[in-house]
Amino acid sequence: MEQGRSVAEMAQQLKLLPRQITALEEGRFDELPGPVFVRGFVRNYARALGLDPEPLLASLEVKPGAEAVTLTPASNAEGEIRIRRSRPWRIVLRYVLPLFVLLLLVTVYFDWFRMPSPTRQETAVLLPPAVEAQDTTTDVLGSHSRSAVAEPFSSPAVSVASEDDSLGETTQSAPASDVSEPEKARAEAPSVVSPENPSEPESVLRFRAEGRSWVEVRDASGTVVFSRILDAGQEASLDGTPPFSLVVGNAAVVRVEFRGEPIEIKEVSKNGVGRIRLP
Amino acid sequence: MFGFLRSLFSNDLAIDLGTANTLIYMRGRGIVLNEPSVVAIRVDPSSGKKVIQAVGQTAKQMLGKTPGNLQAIRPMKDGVIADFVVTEQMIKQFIKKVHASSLLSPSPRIIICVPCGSTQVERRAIRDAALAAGASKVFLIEEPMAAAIGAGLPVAEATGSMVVDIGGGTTEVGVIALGGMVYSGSIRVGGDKFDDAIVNYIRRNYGMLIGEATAELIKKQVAIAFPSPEVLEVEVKGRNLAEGIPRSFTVSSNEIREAIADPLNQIVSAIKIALEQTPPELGSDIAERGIVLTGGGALLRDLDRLIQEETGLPVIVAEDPLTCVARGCGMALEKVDMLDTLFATE
Repeated sequence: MEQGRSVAEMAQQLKLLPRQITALEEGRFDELPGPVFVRGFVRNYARALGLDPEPLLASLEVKPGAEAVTLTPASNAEGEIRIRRSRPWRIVLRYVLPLFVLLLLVTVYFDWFRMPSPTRQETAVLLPPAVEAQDTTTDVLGSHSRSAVAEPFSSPAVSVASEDDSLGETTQSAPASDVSEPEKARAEAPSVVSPENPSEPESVLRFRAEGRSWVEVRDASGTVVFSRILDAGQEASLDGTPPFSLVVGNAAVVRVEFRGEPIEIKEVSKNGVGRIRLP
Repeated sequence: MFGFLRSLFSNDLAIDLGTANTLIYMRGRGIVLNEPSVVAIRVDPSSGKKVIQAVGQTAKQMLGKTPGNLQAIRPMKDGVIADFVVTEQMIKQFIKKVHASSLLSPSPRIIICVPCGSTQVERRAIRDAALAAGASKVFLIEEPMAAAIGAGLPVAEATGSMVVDIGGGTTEVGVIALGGMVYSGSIRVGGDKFDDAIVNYIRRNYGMLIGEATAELIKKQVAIAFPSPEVLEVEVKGRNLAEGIPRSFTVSSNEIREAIADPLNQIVSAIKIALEQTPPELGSDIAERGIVLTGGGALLRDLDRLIQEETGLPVIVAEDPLTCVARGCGMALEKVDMLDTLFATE
């Protein structure tokens, strides 16, 4: 219109719609997208007409940034969409773990308060090697003939008794090729030992179990010198220097002999464990 | 150790770490720094150590004119970090400049913008550089988003807006609606590519060698994107390749338009691709409102007309396009505590 150009021509040049051009010319800015675009369109329009856009822009009442800037989309609700997924760890946490803890508690209860014997028996396993050796010795004694008493004893006090024995002992430590040698020696040993040492004292302590039971013996210093489980009919014996303190489980079925004399275990607790001290 | 204390005494910053210029917006104070992203490094002859001689405008004046022991570096290239250590030092120096000298070294929270086409590694590098420069926390924001906010576009509304940010190293095209980017595209073409194109054109057609600074001067004075009856001319000096002697010559705007036609076409096709990829509902919004140009490239004469003719859509240049991204970052900074969705992840 100004400079004799039609709205259509201007719209064509500015790539705007004719209604936008008329709105712009008539100052109906609310029909246009927004202040930024109004100012942009005015600037483009002025330039297309060869006018200086600045005074026109200054006269515009729409200023950029006049209204508060919003940077996030409008919101009128709140909440979270939960994604339901089977989580194995959650099942473990909710069901398996408490079950496991319960099981653990039950086990501990029975272990600790109801069955004292197994815990005692544990000490036997922890015996130092020397004592262990002695232990196996008595085992051998218990299960085999008593005549072989002296043979495997490594304690000097006993092995003094027979020279053949100590010979057998040393050859035993020789290389494996000489296996037959100690074998022979061992075969000889019983015949030699039993007649030669009639005076040798019987084992200081002997146990004979008539039912399943366990025995633990401590010496004067309090160290465990003997600890075993005895099955029905099993025997065991022990050497050493008294005094001993004995603890016998299921005392009713164990016969104890001290220096060949039977000992009666008087002090018996209600769960059958007997305690006795031998001089 | 005193990070918390230091951040308490530091003002939050928004940084537009551009290839050509770095702008810093300080919370509550607006844009406090606008300097070229150039660092001059001097090699100390006695110890052999590299020390920073100058940053910003002072360093830019040294570009292409340095003696042997000086080096003027532009540590950013194509919108991303080309030299990590130098960038870190540059950010540190700029932060120091905007913070009045205080007992504690500043440790502000920083919003820093990244090109939307940058890779994870490049984003990580920018974040790390800002952290190494003393930031207590770094938020990244994509450039088109910041540009749109800075241009005053209704980013949070259910209408589509298209913003084209033509920077020094990259051109970013973004379609934004409901506070997020619906489409974003980035090409590594920007003001630097225009300069290169001008240097090449002058060498080819005039047999003259000019520096980048001269090319930039030509671009600012006479470059035009769309044919115009008005012809501008500028007299420049360069070294004649055949004679090896500096000579002066005159170039016109039409020649420069020819020179920069290639990078311009790349920008136009990036915009066309973006329009192709935009959902139709948003496309109709863009057709109604038009495309908004921001960044230093938007100052190229008649670039809006070129895009307008090529796309057939109205194109407007944002007010003060050079600072759009920095202002947009700044507006995001003002509301940094409430915005999570706006920030880019690595």
